[in-house]
Amino acid sequence: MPLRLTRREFIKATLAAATATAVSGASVKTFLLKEKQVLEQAGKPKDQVRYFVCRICGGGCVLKGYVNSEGVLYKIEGDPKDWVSHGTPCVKGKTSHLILYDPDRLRKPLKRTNPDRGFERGPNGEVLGVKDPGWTEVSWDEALDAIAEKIVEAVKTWGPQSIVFIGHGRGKALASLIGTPNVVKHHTTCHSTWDVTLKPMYGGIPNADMANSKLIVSFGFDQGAGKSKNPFPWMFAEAKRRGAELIVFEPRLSETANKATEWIPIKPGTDLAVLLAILHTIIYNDMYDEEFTIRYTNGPILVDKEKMTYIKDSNGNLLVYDEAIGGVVPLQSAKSPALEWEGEIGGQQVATAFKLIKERVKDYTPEWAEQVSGVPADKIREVAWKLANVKPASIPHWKRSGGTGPNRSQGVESYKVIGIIMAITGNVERAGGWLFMRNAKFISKAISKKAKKSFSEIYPIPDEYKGKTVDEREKFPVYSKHAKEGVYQKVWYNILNDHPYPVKVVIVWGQGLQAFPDYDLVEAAIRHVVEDNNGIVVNVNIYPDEMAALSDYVLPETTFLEGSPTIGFSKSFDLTYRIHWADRIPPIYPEPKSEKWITRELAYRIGEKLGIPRETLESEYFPEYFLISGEEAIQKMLEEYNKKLGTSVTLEQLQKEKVITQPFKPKDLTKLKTPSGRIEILPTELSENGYDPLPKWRDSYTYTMLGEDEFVLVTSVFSMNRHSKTVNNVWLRKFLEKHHADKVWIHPARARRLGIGEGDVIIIESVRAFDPNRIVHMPKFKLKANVHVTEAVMPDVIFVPHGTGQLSKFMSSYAFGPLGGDSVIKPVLLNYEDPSASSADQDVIVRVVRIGG
Amino acid sequence: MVRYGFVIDLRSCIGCGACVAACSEENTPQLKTISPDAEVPLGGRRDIIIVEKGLFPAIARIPLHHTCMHCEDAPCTHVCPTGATFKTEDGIVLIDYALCIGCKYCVEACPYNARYVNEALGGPDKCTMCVHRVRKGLRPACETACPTGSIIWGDLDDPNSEASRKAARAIPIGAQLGTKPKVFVIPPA
Amino acid sequence: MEQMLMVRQEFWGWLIAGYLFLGGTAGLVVPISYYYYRRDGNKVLGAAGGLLAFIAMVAGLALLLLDLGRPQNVLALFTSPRLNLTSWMTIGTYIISAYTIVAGVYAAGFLSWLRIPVFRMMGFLRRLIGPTGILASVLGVSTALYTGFLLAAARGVEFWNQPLMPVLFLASALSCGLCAYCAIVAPILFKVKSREFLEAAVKIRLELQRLDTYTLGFELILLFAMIDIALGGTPAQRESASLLVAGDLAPIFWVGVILVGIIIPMMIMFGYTLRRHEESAKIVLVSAVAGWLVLIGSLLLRYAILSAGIIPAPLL
Repeated sequence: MPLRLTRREFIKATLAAATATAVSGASVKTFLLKEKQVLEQAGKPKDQVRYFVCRICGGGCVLKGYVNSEGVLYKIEGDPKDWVSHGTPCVKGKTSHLILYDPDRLRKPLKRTNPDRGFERGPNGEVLGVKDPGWTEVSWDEALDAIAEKIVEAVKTWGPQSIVFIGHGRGKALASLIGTPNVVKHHTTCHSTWDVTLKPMYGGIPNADMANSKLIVSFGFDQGAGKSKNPFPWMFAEAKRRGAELIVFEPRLSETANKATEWIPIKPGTDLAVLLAILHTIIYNDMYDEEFTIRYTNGPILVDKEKMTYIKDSNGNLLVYDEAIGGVVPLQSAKSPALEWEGEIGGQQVATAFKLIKERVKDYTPEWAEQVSGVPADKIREVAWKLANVKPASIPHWKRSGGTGPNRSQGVESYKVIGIIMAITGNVERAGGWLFMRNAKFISKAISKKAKKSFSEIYPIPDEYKGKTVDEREKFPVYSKHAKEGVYQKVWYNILNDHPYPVKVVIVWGQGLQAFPDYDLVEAAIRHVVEDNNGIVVNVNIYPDEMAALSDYVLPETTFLEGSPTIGFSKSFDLTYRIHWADRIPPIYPEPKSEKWITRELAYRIGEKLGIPRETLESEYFPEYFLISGEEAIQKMLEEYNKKLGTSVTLEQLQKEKVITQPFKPKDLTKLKTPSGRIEILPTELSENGYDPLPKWRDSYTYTMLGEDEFVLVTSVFSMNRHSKTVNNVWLRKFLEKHHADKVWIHPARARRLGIGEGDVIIIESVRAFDPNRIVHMPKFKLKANVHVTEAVMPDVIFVPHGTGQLSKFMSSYAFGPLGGDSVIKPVLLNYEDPSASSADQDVIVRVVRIGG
Repeated sequence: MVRYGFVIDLRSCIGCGACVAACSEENTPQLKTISPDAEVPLGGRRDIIIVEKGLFPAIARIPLHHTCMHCEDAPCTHVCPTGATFKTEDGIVLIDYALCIGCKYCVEACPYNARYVNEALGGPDKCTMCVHRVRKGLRPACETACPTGSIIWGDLDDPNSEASRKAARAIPIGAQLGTKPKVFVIPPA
Repeated sequence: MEQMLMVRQEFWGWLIAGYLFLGGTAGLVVPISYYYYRRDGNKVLGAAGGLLAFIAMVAGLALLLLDLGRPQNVLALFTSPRLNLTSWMTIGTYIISAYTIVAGVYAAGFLSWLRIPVFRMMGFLRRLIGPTGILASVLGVSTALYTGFLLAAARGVEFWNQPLMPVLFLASALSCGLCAYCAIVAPILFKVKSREFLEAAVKIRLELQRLDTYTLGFELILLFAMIDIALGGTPAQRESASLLVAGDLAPIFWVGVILVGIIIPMMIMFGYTLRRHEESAKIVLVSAVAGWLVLIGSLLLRYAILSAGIIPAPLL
């Protein structure tokens, strides 16, 4: 077209005359003068620096806060001396001052006046919100007296076991004083699988030192870039910068997969098949590290072929077959133990542990795994070859992983295989492989939370309930030994059914409702406690959130940024113990109180009502935790630190340096906390307790066909969110929105067939679980959500982000994301044959119906 | 000569927004000294935008950064009538509010849309490369805040600086505009 | 793998549209009036043109001031130590300031013929009509052109960066200037029944309106040429043009700009006023209506063009 001149040339030409006289007039001096003015205009704020230890996730980063002249904490940075954050806390910690000044925060104890509690339902059976509790503000005295009254009533009439504490172990000291065994934590929906696999196998929890790895193979581990316990993102980034290869198996392009070298989509719940095929390939192609396996694992140790427990000689020695001698000898005197041997000792069929593993994985070929998982056999061989030959290599893992965690029916089996692969490729306790996670948590034991004497001595637990917990954790011996956490997903179900005993008081402490599966069950259970058992439900919280709106009393708590100076410790992968000093700032509101204050005040009132004088309480009953605080407590913890590590850190030193680091030696891999002292690739602790110690694939634990409108549920958390703790942070919500974390994700091919477009409203309901034997209760509620149509998920999968979708209208985050979140439709799943009691709540198939555009 | 610039490594950027939050936290007190009501809104001076690109399974969600390029040949400085927008010796494009009349011509002239109108100031606002920190020997807040170390700031003329070494392998954002931008991107792998 | 972010500009709206419109309209008013003064010695038209330009420019400047976010610094436009003389904003400010003043002096020269004592005293200004007329004409055309260049030089908005933009603005300014007489000057003068005007009125109206139909036709062609170029241009230009043609600005563009601002006035002129070789209240009224429609259309045109501005920010 003749008119199509290039516009820039034209403009240039018309401006040419003017441009000639341009710019030249500007001398450097004027520039600098101007800049000085700008800087002067900007001024210099006079700030006070305050240190904090972040408590948003368990990472425990050091936060360096800036408090301006008005006393407002307005900016948070990291401290380069802090290993966990490397000087850069994640966006959640960095913006945590927004929690402090959140206008929605609770400021006074609240009491509900509306007896009608529960959820508002929509016409399609979806949850729309929590009913208005009709809160009135009450004084601490009124609230605490009423709660103490109920606790005393419960203790006197039904026994201390009828009081249940739910949360991250909060209120533990009070529970021990009352004498109830029921402190329930979230492990079975979180990382109970590693408690029953890695702890028996390794005597601790090793994890990937990703920063130094040359190869990282992840099975649904989404901490690299998603979820974001803070050390992981930078380790992950560092690995990438150093040129490491990152292979991620995941049904969704997770945050981690997005940053990987290679994302391999995998049918949900079939990671185990790929893992087994990798193990098969490594073993049957002799690619394992033979020397490491013989020296540091129980591979050569002889076990009973039937029971899979150790064979011991009369002195209790473990036995191996010595190839040099050609006979069975005690482990410690063997010259060259055989890795593969089987035979008979005293009429018992025995074999080396390694031999049994080899036999077990015989049929798990890559071709078989391809059929199950959809991952090409050659790809599996390639990954197996890399895992065996690229060193150091690591398989990172953490709770709630898409493939290995307790959100999968076969999570325990996957963990076993990962444990074996890492051991037989010799990637344990070496930089870039797996390192044992250590932290200076032992210092917290310097101040006991256990009561010296419990009220249960006066009002004991009835005989028929002794040894029984509300969540039946005693049915999972290995799990209960390694983690005193309880069976989380079943707690409300048991409360509803008065099983094994009725419950009168439930105290939910700092735990959001979204942590529990199956909302209609929670609603019914809470009603049952209050209406049928004449009890109460108490919530200690910083927000008027969903859980608060379901409770009778809501007690306001301080945030982790407020309070007296304290000490922090964090997990580390760099072979050091670290402790941090936290100044904190004084509480910004007068009424919200600390955990210690609330528990102690409740304890006084309970004691008073039981007729125990204050002095007696303090001297004979109270745990040390109630009595010591501030610098005295820090001093005590420092003593413990110095005693254990042989250091001489003083309070002043810690206060001045803020971070104290103490290196420790690598672990001796023959003196681990396992029965053999070695890495148990065949964990005999499991076989001793009647569980199968070796990994096994169960067809019945997966799915085959999906209906036209059916999807497999996959959930994860984005790196800018940590459930109820951060979802009310307006800044984080803006970032979440950018990542479409407020919508459920569906593949375009499936969406098209269902007539679903971007932003459409759908209703999701659970229809079945992979393993029907696990189902304890199927939810009746449905989930209303907006759709994001994206190529970033497998067609089989619907991705529901976790932690968004607040139901309380007292929160600014109300209805941000799927209404109620994935928890609304997660069934209660439990299998008594699964040693971890894991919830497997991602192995769920859901049905989707479009209801609007 | 010193010539400051940024390199953004999209291979490791996870799009978390820490840099965006840091920018707002750091610079709001600075703006308040000019106008007590002013603040840097979240995403005002720098923002991230997540773009989905590709088809399953070859798909990536790319976090892109939207901020001032501190162009060497900056269109904003050319159109500012009063010289309120100017460039420092070391290549930082700044606004002098003592001269700014708030005509918003610079906002329209910026081909990177890096400027926004700050209501409280009545005028444009943009990334200052945290000049108040840089002059004190500190580094810009966004770089300091990045949990994955994906933002690298430094002297592009210093062959030993990390920024200049990385910039050699990176591409300047929107180079085709010819304004000689000083923000470089290492594309996602 | 180029990625860009398309941002709709929202900083310049009605105020700037009004400013550009008034600048354009006023810009061509004085040249027209001076032309008739020189040709026919028509003082009334001269006075009306000067006055109209002066008022419009003052109003335009007021709008610009209102749009300034930091008016407290407005003097910096003249006193800044780092004055940027290559910015169209600066050039424009100087041009329009000068034009306002010169147009004022020009108008005052004519007004001194009025039998009002205050104006009588300004008789000495009559001598300046010649030089100020020429100067004001130059400045006026510059003002009209400048409104186009201001947009064309805003690099962020690619739709405005079209070479035809200043031409379009000049054409539109011409049609506005012509119509301003029919819309504003003629009805007032018809009311006061100025003999001097009535004599020339018919001739001048016919001339003005005939020229206006050509201008409007030219403007229409320009507008479509620009849209066509934009539709075949960069993604941002495409986006902007589609906003006008089929987007949320389509009602303003098709009805306001094209139909009300161009087609209907042309139909009125061709079909009615251009065929009437006399002057009556009805004709003056119909002409005024046509003129006002053109003026409204021109204001809407500027608003539509501003509002369709999209800044395509490259991100990768």
